[in-house]
Amino acid sequence: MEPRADFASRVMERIGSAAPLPLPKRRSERILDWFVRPRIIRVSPLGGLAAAACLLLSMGLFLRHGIDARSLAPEGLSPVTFVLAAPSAREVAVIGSFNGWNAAGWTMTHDPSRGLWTLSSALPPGSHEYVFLVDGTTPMADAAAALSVDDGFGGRNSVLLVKDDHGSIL
Amino acid sequence: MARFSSLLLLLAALMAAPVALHAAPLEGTLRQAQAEKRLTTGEAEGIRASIDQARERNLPTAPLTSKVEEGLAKRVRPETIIQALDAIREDYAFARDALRRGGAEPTPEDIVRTGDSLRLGLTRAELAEMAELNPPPPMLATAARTRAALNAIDFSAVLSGDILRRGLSLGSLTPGWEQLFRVAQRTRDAGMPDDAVAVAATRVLADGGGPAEVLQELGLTVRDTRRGPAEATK
Repeated sequence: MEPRADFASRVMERIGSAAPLPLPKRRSERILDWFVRPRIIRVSPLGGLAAAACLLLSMGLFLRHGIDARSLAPEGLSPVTFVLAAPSAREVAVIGSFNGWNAAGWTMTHDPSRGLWTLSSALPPGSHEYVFLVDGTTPMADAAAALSVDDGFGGRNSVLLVKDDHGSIL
Repeated sequence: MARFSSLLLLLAALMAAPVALHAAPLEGTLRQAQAEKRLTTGEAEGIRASIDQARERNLPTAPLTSKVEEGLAKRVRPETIIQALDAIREDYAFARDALRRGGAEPTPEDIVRTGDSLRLGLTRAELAEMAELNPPPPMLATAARTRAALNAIDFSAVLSGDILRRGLSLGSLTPGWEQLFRVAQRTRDAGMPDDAVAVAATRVLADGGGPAEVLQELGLTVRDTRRGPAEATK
């Protein structure tokens, strides 16, 4: 069956007279819609157990970090300042038993006028071994340390005794 | 639904991961060193085996892990790291045997303090001699540390032996006595002989005092630097 000759023009006329389609919503509105529209969440026993495990782990991690934060509280630590005279060094860091022998975050600050490298920190009471790591490769014991110990590798580590209440008056 | 459960389980696993990593710092260190071509698989195995030997003998392993980190940071050859681990392990074994002489089981902290004293300057003969007095493990650990520090500043071995025998036999050697070497250094700075420290220390030990009292006994000024002058006079 052949359409009438005016078929196309009538179709176009109907389209033109129809109500305009709504404009697509903006992305932010669609996201807001997603959040405000009520939904039903069905959880299996396995899913519920997994959610509970997540919650318990979160609480555990929170508590652990809470304890760490308390142990790092200033009142439990004593201020220490490391100083090294090394005018020709390009970079110096302190590595020791207190930072896992890892220089990250323990780079010393250079004072070119005096040729000194310094770093201030806070450590817990006790005995700490350390060396200066010069230019990322050369370990160097602290000549100013009161004590040093054989490092077992043919060199020496400096020993820092951070005082507690027993020794604080010395 | 299955996807939701899997997602939650994955989340739980991811959150547990840092805990697992914290429990095995050695593995992370060794793997990183291998990735950086600083250790071969065989060398990493040798390090693991050395630490496993300490674990099998119930000796503290945390200082050994720290020694591995130290060796890698200092770019020490792997075989030298293993030799150092073996030496520390034997020091800890010797220290534990000495600490056990009194009949009580020492804590890992006591073993580490005593074992590390052997690296600081204490001789095995000196440790064995002090252990014969059968002090409690924490007190023997304090004695070991005190004597090692005195040896490290070349304090007379005879005098330090006298002081520590006195402290151990009286049971008055508190942890603060580890700072006795500082008293000896200050006394030397003041031009006084080591004998004076020994005489004052043995007297103070009999009275149950500490190194601060030794300084007072020697006529050297002691001030608590934690307090201001006004507070100190209260």
